[in-house]
Amino acid sequence: MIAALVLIAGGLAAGVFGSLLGLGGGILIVPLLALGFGLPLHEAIGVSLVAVIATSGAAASVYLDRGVANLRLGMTLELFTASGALIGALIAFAVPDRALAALFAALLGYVAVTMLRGARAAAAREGAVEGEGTRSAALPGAGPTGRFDGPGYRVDRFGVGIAGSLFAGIVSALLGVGGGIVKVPLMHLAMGVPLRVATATSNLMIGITATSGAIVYLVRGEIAPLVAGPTVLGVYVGARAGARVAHRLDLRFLRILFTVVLGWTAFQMTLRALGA
Amino acid sequence: MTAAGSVERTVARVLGVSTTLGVALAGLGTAWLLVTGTSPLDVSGGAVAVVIAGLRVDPGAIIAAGVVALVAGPTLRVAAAIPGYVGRGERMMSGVSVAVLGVIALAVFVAGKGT
Repeated sequence: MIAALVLIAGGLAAGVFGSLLGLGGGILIVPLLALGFGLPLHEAIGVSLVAVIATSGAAASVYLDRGVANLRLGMTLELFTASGALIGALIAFAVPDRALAALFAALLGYVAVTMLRGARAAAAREGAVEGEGTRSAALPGAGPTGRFDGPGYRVDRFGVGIAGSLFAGIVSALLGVGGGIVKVPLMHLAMGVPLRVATATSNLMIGITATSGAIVYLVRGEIAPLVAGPTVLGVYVGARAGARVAHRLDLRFLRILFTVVLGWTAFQMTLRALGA
Repeated sequence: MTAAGSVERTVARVLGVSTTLGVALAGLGTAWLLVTGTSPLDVSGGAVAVVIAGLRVDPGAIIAAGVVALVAGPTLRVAAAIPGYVGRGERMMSGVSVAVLGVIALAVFVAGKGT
């Protein structure tokens, strides 16, 4: 009973933090289950993928209904993220637990460094968004005339998008995360998709990406339902609550706190990778 | 932001229903788990095994059904988009949708081979 409550609380915290800071819950769920509950990494990753599907499904349905997500672009790119995820899941089963821990520690370190750049980088990105939007809208012929274009923007460099999507899929299934950390910058910075649309479309793509990986974990018996239930419930409720309060909070302190948590978790994962 | 088309609305509806169903089942099973005081760390097998072996009604089976509903949701939304794209004569998007389903089918096949 206590373990179930702690799983719900942990999932809740992962969902709230992930939602407030624009990350999927996976980056927190995997360490929670692996370090906090001593689950093998494969099991932690499998459960995390299911939680990621739940949170992305809820958000993506709203984004689609409001016409924010670019369904045609998302479905086309997810052909490659799903293929990458299948490859990633097979790699995950081929490498030992300690190698996965090392890779996860590297991912945590990367995200912690990204967080450290914090408010200044975010402000710079926001400026870039304005610039991108204006540039795209001003392009002659820009608009929903191309195969994947949307109102006011044109989708460029599709080949880069394909390669990046494959990579995002591999990262997702290998480490149990949604892969938005790759997909959003890919679509926004490399393909010229406005940040708001890129975030919504990434959210949509996460469903199929995580599904492709989760199926491998599911069929191979690596998703324990009794662990998945409380975790999914907590993450789902937490993500929805986080989304509701995000605009009311000053996220600077939260970013610093989160950076410290990620750094500590990366250290613990490194210890696990080293067998200490 | 633009008004969503019919395909988008259909896909959104399928995704919304499958997610709600999956989370509701996970919540129901978790509530039962809490009432019975069962530890979630008493792992008795993967979700598919629980569903197959079970068709019984207990917290594990209910949560396993929720997990299956969640994992099936994105696949169903891809399938749901196909009639809309075919109806609009969008061959490329119809083909992309079928190809995505093909990758998912391949994942099931490959995963099954490895067990």
